Amino acid sequence: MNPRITITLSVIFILTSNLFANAVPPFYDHWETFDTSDGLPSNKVLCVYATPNAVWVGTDKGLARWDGSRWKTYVKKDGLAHPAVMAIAQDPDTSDMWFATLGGLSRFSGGRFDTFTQLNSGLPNDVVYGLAIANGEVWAATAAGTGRYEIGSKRWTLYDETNTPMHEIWCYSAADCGDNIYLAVWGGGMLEYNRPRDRWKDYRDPDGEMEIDLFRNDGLVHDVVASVACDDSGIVWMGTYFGLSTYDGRKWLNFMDHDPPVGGLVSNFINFVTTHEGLGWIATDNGLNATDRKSWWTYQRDPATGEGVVLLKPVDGPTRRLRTKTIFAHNYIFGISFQGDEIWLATEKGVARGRRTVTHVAGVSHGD
Amino acid sequence: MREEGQKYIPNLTPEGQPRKNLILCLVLVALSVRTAVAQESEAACGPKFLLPEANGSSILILCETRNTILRFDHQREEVVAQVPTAASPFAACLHPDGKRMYVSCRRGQRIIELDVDSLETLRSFVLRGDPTGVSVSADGKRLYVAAHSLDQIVIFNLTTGLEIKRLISGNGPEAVSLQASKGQLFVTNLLSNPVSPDMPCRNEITVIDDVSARVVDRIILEGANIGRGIAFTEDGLLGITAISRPKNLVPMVQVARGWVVTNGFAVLSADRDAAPVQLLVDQPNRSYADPHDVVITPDGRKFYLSCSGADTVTAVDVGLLQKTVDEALNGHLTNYSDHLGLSRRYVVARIKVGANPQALAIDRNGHRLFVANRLDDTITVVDTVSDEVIKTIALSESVDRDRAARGERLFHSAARTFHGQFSCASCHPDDGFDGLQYDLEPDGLGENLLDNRNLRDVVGTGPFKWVGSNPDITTQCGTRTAKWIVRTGWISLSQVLDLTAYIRSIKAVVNPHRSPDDQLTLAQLRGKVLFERNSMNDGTPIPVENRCNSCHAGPRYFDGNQFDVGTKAPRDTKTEFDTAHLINIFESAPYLHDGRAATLEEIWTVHNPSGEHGVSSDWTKRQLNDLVEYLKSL
Repeated sequence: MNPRITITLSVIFILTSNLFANAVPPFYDHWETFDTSDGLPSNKVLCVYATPNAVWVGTDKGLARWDGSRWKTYVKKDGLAHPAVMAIAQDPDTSDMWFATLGGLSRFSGGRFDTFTQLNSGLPNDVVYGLAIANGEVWAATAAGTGRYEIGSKRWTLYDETNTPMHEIWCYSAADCGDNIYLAVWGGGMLEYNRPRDRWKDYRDPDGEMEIDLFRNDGLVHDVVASVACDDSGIVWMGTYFGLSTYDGRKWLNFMDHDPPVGGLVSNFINFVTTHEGLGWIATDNGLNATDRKSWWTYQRDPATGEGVVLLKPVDGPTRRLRTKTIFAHNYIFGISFQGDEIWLATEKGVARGRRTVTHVAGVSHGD
Repeated sequence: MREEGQKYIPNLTPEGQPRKNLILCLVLVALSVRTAVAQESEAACGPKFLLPEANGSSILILCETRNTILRFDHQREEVVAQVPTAASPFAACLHPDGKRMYVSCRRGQRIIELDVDSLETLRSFVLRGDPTGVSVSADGKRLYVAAHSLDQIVIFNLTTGLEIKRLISGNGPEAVSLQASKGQLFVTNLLSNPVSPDMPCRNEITVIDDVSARVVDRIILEGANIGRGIAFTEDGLLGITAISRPKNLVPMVQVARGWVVTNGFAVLSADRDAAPVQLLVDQPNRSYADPHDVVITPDGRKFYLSCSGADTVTAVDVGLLQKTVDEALNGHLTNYSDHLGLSRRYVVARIKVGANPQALAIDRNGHRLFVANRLDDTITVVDTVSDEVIKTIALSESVDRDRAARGERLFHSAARTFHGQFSCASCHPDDGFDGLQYDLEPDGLGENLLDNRNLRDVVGTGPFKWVGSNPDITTQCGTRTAKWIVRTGWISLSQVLDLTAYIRSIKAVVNPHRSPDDQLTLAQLRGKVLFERNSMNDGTPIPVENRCNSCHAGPRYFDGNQFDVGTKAPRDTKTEFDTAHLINIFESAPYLHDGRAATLEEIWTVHNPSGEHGVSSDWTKRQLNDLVEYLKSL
């Protein structure tokens, strides 16, 4: 191993004993980037989704599947609805893959693509940004509302401004969180649909201001919500273009890039949020964050050296700066997914894979 | 004394009248009881599925028409048990424990679990969606059911009895076969996956992993349609499935050339990377229409294919077949999938059996083949060494009950078609439709491409043909059929009436989009309002002739007239087309006269640019969704 990396890791071992005390340290290294030279249809990777057996990558020019050794691509002539793939999800019951594209919704099942468009089905709009699948239902967030497709009955239900408190109909993301479905609405805040009660509720920025957040933690940080996710404890994570909001059902906790000290949210412009092992992961236009809402990890590429810069900001104490030899190829990150001890990032320059090698650290108990 | 020529008038006194009436009533009651008993004992059986029993001496017969299961001792040649089922028992399978069995009842919309010994029903699983093929997982924990009208495989937990999930199948799943050595289930599908009218059909075999209960593969049979039975050798290395290969992309003038529908099977080899080889059982001058079921002998050396339109079972030598397949895969044979001259290489016997043979079964030691002749209520027993019929066993006394019964045999027989190529059922499988479009020759080659129409529940929906030129079913089935379709030149009037009676008797399938109590959902109710509206969303009145329910009127949602709805294609010679009835329209995709609309939505989103097919330009997306929900419920 490179001595410099070894030293870096040693430092991290020590540091992590005080960070994320109840989880495996979210330290990923040994980054590799896959791009068109490896077989991807395009370097502009808009989304990534890892299943136990494969990694699916959506680009602006088609889809690719990594089987562990090689990439297989799928484009429109294979049956994909549109080359630009914005989101990917897997049906947990059937393992069928679903793809949100800019030309409709595609289902990939047993090697066959089926396409749903606004012309041939009840899909609200062909511009599909987000997906959530659970309980035999597909929720498709589109540019003209959200469609719910019940797979068993093949029935579509359309949700827009006429039957929900959807102040804008530009839906960007959907997340299944048990009884609740959450929608990220670009300019309309976040919507919550409670299945048992068949009720909708909206969450919006209380001050309604574009440029400032008048009172911190009074509600959603901004109405332009690009992504929504939830974790096992029920906390909802919302990535906006003006900061990060989290909500545990009672209290809001918001984060912005100018929160002191340095080392917190790396950028207010958030493309995507997800959760993994109790942490929120935030893909921004300027790097990657992981946080338990107290401590922060930040990953960035140093454009000057091409090396990685990792900031560790503990609950208390100063922020530390580390360097890694490898890192993703671009700081503009569109998506995040996990497969075992690997993290996969969709970036402006290919899809990056990082490996978690620091999993057994003295003083740190391990999550499951 | 009565004078000659004088009418006899019974001298009934007022006192005598009641007594005579009473006697008359008693006689009538006695007669009616006797008639009922006779009808019950002679009710058509319609043997649909065979399940040999472990004892080797009996076989279970599912009687689709009589709605019963017969335990038939084929050595003693008698029915030793008979139990009722829900309507239209279709297929059955054994639980791995050998103690329970499962029977899908297609019209009954359920699967019943029975004790194998007593044939007592233990419980039932309701499934609105036309349950057809069934199989139990190798571990005995799950029940797989093909839901024909939903295009889904529904999986039940056999411990809880609850539905677990639904997998997406091909178009109209039919048979489900567990291949234990592969740990997979293979599901055949009746119809091709949706293709545009100018493309060859593509029949699918859906492959499910039995452990994860997930679809892992979809084997596409290019150019094939009407997927029926499927069987594997015990080692799983060879699979055979019954198919037909329609030639719907060329004008039907090919009838005279012996090439409209060809009949055969697909070979699924262990090498999944190679496309399945499709071969025919037809000969250049003789076809064997409507391949239906397949069984393979336990030693794997021979398989039998029932050709239900030819009243024949075809025997194929697997060794000889393998040589042909190898030649095909090695590129030494061209056009083998449509090669009418190849069957002589591997077909070793053509066994004449009863009317409309469908289900096949073979006994445990492989010595006897059983053939269920669905339309003459017989079971043919065949010696598998000599391939000769040993005996034919009648399950009921009479099969010529009425015109409809005779018509049903005509409908399913290819005997009157040139070279026996196809029957009515070849293009109207299960009395419905094949999902394809045809260029019928009489109106000009290459002109007037027409979508094949559903025959279910068509009484009162005349006139017929897409241009409405045939006023009734009799005309539709008479001269036109003889002259233009089957090319034999003559069907007797009596046969036409028989055929008409049968077609009139065909019922609609149960609509899974309609609730059992016929109550509409809220979305369907909203769609109904839209269907019946007389003004646009902005209040502008809609002319009567442009309202949905003006043409699609009445209980069957049609008016018997033809209209220009703006769908004339460049090669169409007519502008006005028949108003389609809307009963069970959910099942009859594609839509419009030439099948150009793949879904109901496309009728308006793609093919109604000028609003000639109803005023749709002001609809919101939700209104369209509601309308489609309503239409699917009709």
